[in-house]
Order: sequence, then structure tokens, then C-alpha cells
Amino acid sequence: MSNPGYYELYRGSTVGTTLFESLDQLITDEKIQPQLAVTILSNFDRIISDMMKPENNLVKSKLTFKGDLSTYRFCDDVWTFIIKNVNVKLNDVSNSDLSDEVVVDKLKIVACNSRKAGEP
Amino acid sequence: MSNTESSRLYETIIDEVINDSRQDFENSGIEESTLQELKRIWCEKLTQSQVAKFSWDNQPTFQQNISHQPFDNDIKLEHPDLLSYNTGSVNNVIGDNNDLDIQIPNMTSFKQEYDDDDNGLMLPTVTQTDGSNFEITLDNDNAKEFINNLKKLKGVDGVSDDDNDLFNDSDDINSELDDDLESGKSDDEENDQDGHIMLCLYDKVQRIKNKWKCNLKEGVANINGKDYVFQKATGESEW
Repeated sequence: MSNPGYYELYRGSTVGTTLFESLDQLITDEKIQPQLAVTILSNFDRIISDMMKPENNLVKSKLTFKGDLSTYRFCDDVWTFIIKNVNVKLNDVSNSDLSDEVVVDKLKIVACNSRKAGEP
Repeated sequence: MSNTESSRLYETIIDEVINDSRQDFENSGIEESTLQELKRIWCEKLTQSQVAKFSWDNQPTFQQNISHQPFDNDIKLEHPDLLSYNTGSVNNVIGDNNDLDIQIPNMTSFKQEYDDDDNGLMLPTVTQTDGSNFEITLDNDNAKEFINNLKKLKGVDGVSDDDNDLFNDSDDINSELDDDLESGKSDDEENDQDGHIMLCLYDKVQRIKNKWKCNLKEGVANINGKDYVFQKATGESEW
């Protein structure tokens, strides 16, 4: 019943962890069964993956970053980077005036292969 | 802050997930109110995370009402009740802890005895079964050989004991590996503490000598406690 075509990657985002905690709370209160929570999480995997796609026009911003690569890892088709002294620039395309630039001492990037993401 | 996109995305995701899960809730025989409760808890938790400003945050009346309620609760009868309940629960918790405290030493003492018994008993039983197996075939042929075999078997056991000792010794050598593991863990912990993390897909990762370039897309990043979403990202870094 799970969606093999969708990554579980985004469960690590804030919107994912908060959903997980909410489901966990409902299970603890014995209001739902764990099996239902698993189904909801796979619904989440599918929906967030689809929402991120450009055709939905929900996510349009562009981001650039520059820094010192401290660690790189490629395992099971997943890239992990730990970059230090990173300058991150975000251009919100929907509000062209707005752009954000922040410097972070350490940024961890976890990236899955784009070719597998729900594509046939 | 230009993270308006992330709040809009999150709100859409919540609506979609809730609408999409309605059928699953029905199939499990769960009422609509529980689905709405899931949505409410989810929104609350997102607000508490403070990663973005959400449309439902623009209703501070709830909080005001809540903040007014303590003024109404000046009636003295309610407070002692609450306090007694609280202290009662605290006492219970302490009582539980005490129970646990008592139980844990008991458990560990039991475990230790059990482990000792295990270690003491397991090896003899193994050698005995081995010996009995060999007894049937070899005892009648040559008693000396059998005894030698037994001695060898015991010797094997002795070697295995030595192995254990060697293993224990090698733990000292392995401690370097342990250090590596620990340092790796501490790295991860540092990452968690910093909390700057980006989850995304990659189109292309290139390296020329020590220069790395990556083309990323459809990502969520948490930086300085705020969530950002992006359609495309390009990064350059030197190793």
C-alpha cells in the first residue's frame, strides 16, 4: 500500500516531523491505529513530492550557496554534503523584490536522485 | 524574510493531506472529528516550531482568551483542587520513580546473577553435549583417543576463552574505531544542534579537482530556525 515511487525524504522537514508527532500523539491517545498513521505518512510523501514540482507553481524560488565543502558522501543513490561557512542566497521569484542572504557556519544537505522521484 | 512560499506550501500540503486521508480514515472506521483533530494538532505544532508565519496565526484571540482565563480562575476552590491533583500526580510520579529505583537494582542484580549463571552453565553444557555425542562413536574404539579428543575439545573451549580474551584485548585496538564512531556521532549531534539542513533532489553533481558544483531542485531547507523552499538551487563549494 506504500508508494514506492515517492521518497520519504521530506518527512524530515518541519511539516513532516510535525505531522509525525501529531500522528504519534493520536496513536498514544489510542484514537487511531499505527497502520492508519503509516498510510497518512505515505499520503504525505506523495503530496509533498507533487507539490514541489514546478507545474504546481507553488514553489518558484531559486537558491544559491557557496562554501567550504567539509564532507561529501554518496551512498544508496543519496548525496550528503556538509558545507561549512556557507553563504546562502534565496531569491523569491514570486516577490522579486525580496531576497535573503544568510551566512551559516554549517549546512547539511541530503539529496535524493531526481530521476526516480515518482517518474515512470 | 522571504519564506512566504514555505508557509503557503505547508498550508496547501496540510489541506491536501487531510482531504486525501479522509477516505483512509473512513476505511479504518475513524470519525471525521479525529481527522480534524489531526489537522488542529498539526497546525499547532507548526506554529510552535516558528519556522514560518501561517494564515491561522493571525487569530490571536484564542491566546488572549486563554490569557484571560487565569483571571477568572481566581476562585480559590479551583486552585487547591488543581494543586492537590498536581501534587498527587507528582507524588505518584515520584512513587513510580522510587519503585523504578528499587526495581532497577533488583533487575540488574538478577541480570548479573543470571548472566553469571549463564556463563557458568552454558560452556559446561556445551562441552557435555559434545562429549556425549563423541562418547557414542569413539568411546568403544579407543578410550585414550577419546580422552585426547575430550582434552582437545576442552582445549578448543580454552582457545575460545582465549579468543574472548583476545577479543577483549582487541577492544583496546578497536577503541580507535570507537573513537571514530564517537566523533562521527558528535558530528551528527553538532549538525542536529545547528539544525541547518536542506532536503532536496539532485539533478547533477560535478567535481573538477577540489571544486564541487551541484544542481539541486525541489527542496526544503531549515536555516536559522526558518524554513525555506526552493524550486532550483545551485551550489559551489571547495573541498
